Amino acid sequence: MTTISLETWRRAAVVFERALDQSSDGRQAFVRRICGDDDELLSAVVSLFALSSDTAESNEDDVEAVAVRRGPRLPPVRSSPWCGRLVGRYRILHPIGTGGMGEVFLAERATGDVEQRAAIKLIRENHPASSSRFRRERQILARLTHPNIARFLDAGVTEGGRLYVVLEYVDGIPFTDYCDQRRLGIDQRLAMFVKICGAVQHAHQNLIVHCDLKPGNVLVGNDGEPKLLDFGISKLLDLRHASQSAATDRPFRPNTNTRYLTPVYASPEQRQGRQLTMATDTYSLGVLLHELLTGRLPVTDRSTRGGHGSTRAVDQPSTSRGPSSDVLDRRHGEATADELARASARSTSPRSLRRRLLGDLDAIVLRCLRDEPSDRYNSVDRLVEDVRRHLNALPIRARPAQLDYRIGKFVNRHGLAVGASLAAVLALSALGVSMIERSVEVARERDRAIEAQRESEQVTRFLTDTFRLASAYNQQDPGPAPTHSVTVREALEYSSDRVQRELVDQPALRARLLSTIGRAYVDLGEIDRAVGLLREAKSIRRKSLPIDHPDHADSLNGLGWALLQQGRAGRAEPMLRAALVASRALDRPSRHLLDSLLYLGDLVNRRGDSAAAIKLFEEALIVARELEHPPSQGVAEALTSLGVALRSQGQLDQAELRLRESLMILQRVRGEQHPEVASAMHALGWVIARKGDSDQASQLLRQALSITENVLGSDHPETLAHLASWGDYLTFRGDYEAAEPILRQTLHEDRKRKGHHHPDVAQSLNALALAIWQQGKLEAAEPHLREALAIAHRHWGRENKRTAVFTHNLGALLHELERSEEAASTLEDALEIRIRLLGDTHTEVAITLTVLADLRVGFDDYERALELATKAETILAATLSAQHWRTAIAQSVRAECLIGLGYYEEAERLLMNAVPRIEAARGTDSRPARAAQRRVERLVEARAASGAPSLS
Amino acid sequence: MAGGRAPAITDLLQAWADDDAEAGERLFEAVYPELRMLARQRLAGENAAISIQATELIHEVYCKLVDQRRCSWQCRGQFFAVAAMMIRRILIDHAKQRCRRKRGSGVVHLSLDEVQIPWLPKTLDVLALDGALVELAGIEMRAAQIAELRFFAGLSLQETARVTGLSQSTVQRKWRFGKAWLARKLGPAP
Repeated sequence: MTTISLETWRRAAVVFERALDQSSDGRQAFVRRICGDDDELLSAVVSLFALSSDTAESNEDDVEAVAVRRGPRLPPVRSSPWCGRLVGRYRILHPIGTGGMGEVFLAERATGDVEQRAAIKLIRENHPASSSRFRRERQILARLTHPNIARFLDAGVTEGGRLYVVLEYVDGIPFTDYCDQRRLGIDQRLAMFVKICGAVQHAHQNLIVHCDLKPGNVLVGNDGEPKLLDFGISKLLDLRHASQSAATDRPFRPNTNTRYLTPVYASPEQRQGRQLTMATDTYSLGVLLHELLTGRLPVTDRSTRGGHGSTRAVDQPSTSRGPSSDVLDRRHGEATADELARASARSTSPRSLRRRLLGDLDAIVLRCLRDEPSDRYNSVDRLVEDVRRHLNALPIRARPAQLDYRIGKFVNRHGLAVGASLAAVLALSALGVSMIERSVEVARERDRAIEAQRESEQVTRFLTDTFRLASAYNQQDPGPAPTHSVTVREALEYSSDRVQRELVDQPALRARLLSTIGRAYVDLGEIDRAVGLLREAKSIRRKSLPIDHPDHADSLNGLGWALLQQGRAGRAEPMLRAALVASRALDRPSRHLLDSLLYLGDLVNRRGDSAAAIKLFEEALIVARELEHPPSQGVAEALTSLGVALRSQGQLDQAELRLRESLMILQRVRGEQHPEVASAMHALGWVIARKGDSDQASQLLRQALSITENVLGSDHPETLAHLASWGDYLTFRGDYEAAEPILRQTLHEDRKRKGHHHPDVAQSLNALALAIWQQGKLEAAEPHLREALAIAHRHWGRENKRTAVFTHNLGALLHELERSEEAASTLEDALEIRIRLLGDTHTEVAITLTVLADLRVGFDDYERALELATKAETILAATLSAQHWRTAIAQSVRAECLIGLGYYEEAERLLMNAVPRIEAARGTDSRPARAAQRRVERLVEARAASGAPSLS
Repeated sequence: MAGGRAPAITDLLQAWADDDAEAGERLFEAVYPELRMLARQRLAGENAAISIQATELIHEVYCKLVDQRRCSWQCRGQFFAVAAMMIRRILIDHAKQRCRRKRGSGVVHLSLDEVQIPWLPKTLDVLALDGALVELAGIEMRAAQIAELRFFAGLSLQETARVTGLSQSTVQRKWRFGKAWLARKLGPAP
């Protein structure tokens, strides 16, 4: 012991822990590679491994695990008349179990010099003869090789006429037991499930169906790899019956082997003796997944019924409940002992297990368990894809869109409820009505009112005709009922053509139609097209309408909004301001005024001036509440905007309040599946994230993304914005590896759609740089940040909050790259901008101060560093909280200053407080945590060097 | 006495679990005397080498002082974490006193029934263990902290993870390191 220094032990600790992540085979090589020539280190690590073995580990560690363990692995060895007998090329050693089909024996290869163990299944019933189909099937099975499938070695008939099957011997336990014993969490269980699916997928590609998937057929050995047993056996058994029926001339019914099946895992079609397909395996996989996730079998109506060939069961869909409802019975306040035990076997609590299963995993399981094979996933590939999407935190496909949003949104915009058929026509006649109301409201002069009414009727007739014509034109296969075969997009295209062709001599009507169609295009994300139409509407109105006509405000609002969506805020702002002036001049609050306030507020907020935005949004909220009784879309929009602006001002509680009200209104007015609901959820999610509840936040953000993906499709700009935001959130949460590919995708899409110099591209670049940087790839992050900064300078100028963020990030990166001089000047720059814009007690100022302090430590300028760090910590404690990880980081920097100045006691106290907080919030291996851990090491070293006592 | 004090301690635990640092201090003041008294009773009159099971002591104090119906998991964890530190200190003080009085004849052993480590005897000399933990803290502070919670409070790995705020896999890795290192330090010479 004395021969190994403390320093070597410290390194040995790191090597040892890293090596634990390696597989036991690769561990030795790994340790040798890492230790290199350092024999002292090598011998230290090796001596540790000599005293720590995997087997000792599994005997200990968790007392509770013992309780979960279910008896011995194999039944006790019994003797059997079969022992010692030769079956094919194998000698039977001893029985290892009995199943529905017959007995299972351990056997070894009797011929040749290769020692090979195998499992032999002797099927209970006699087998009349082996047919050529049987031989062919046997060959197919023998070719099936996959790491997660126990190899089929042979099959044949014994001298006594009994069918036997020889399989690779797997020394393992059912995978559900394995997962419980190791207390694997849901992610680990899903990873195992994906492997199992991979094996089934492989077999399906070879046209082999399992038809008897159950835990007893999926064993896991010591290496942790699942192996599927008995693939294709059911088919072999079928053939046996096929040959029987051929011999006796009875009609052949497929799959009469159902009597061997474990009923709960069998699909409805299996129980009813119907045609079996690969969807049968999908059903069983669903049952397995349910059991894996909850520890219980799914409850279906059928479970309580007999189900053999009952036609009633076909007609009556089962009322399966999702797995989430099987882990915690909400009717009782407290979790039962059973629920606690099952959750604890998953290393979680019943409540969080339920939360984890709600939504995605419920949908995935239920999709597998559908009664009709055609309602399940098309293939196991699709199932795996959804599980993977879930694991990668992407929205899954099993949750279908609930309405055709593209028509729905267009229609809803005008406040209408619509039936499914002829939706478009109805929508547009009602649109006319709302336009009449609007015209009446704004035009008080009699003649103008009459004109407007006439105009509205024309609008209605025009659009109704358009949709009818477009519908007839596009409906290639007129079915029994009119369907959604015309999308709004198609109808819009058709109507804008008609407007151009037919309404040349009716400028007011033409402008109004163009404006309506243009705004619809903005909603559909086709902004270039929208801008063209809105421009035309504006110029027509300017030429043909009196200067005080309210429609001018509409033109300006529409075009300003579209330009803002294009990222051209400079062009949009004068238009929106003019619209605001025009609509304020009207004597009653109007929808135009509300639009101007909301759009202008959005513009100002995007520029980073959230204080000004808040004023505009507060006015918008007042206007909206006057316009809407009960509060509806407009109030919700104002609330959401206000909430977002309050959030960027750091007023999280206020923000949360507004956003929750908005979400409530929208869910009432719009239903659950609506992009506006998604926006409100998204905004709320970020507020919650900043307040620190990451579970709730990620649930909201993912739900928002999944709604937009469902209703708008995955290439819609709004969906992409949600995706980008999800990437940002993963970065925020510290899951950088998951974030990187998403952020790369959004950057790519942003560049493609918005051009290389769009401010959104700068945001994407910054986000991507952060994710890359936090993974330790510092050099790779720098060019992205520089590009982001260049765009920011061009769009917003130097003195801007966002520019300051990028400047700060670049400075902090340069600091980590140890380019200290460059870092210092960049950070000073960021600090100056931030103090000027935000005042000197703002959180962001403190964040820059923290990095500057750390930089000063690097210069050994402890006095100055201490001053900066103390200031940072004080601000952060006041604006965030004393417990926040950012405060802890400032504290750990302060500790390092104190180490430099020789105050070890105080430094130790600070680090003891700071390190666990940083580790808990950012992860033990995160960069900030590692920086803090290095500070602890520095303290130990400094103490040792000074001869002071070590940590007590 | 116990009845009167129970709610106060539970409140302190809750407050402490909610990050009220001062509550931690007051908690220490409230629990320490009780724990020390109990330990003294248990250790008194033992002349030869004795063996003590720290986790039993802690549970006894816990049952006595804490209103378990109102105590969340987090506060339970906090209690055990702080009690582990206390019991370690009490046992060391006691062992040191005995050493002074008896010139080394009175070794205090810690019984490791709940946390068995292969290659280590079932009972350990408290002073030797303490020395080893101090040294381990100099190598890997977290491993030492985890060992303390496992030995002196009898927390499971999962509970340890919650109390330390580390992930379970991190706790597992660090615990394996700590165990192996302690086994090498304290185990029979190879």
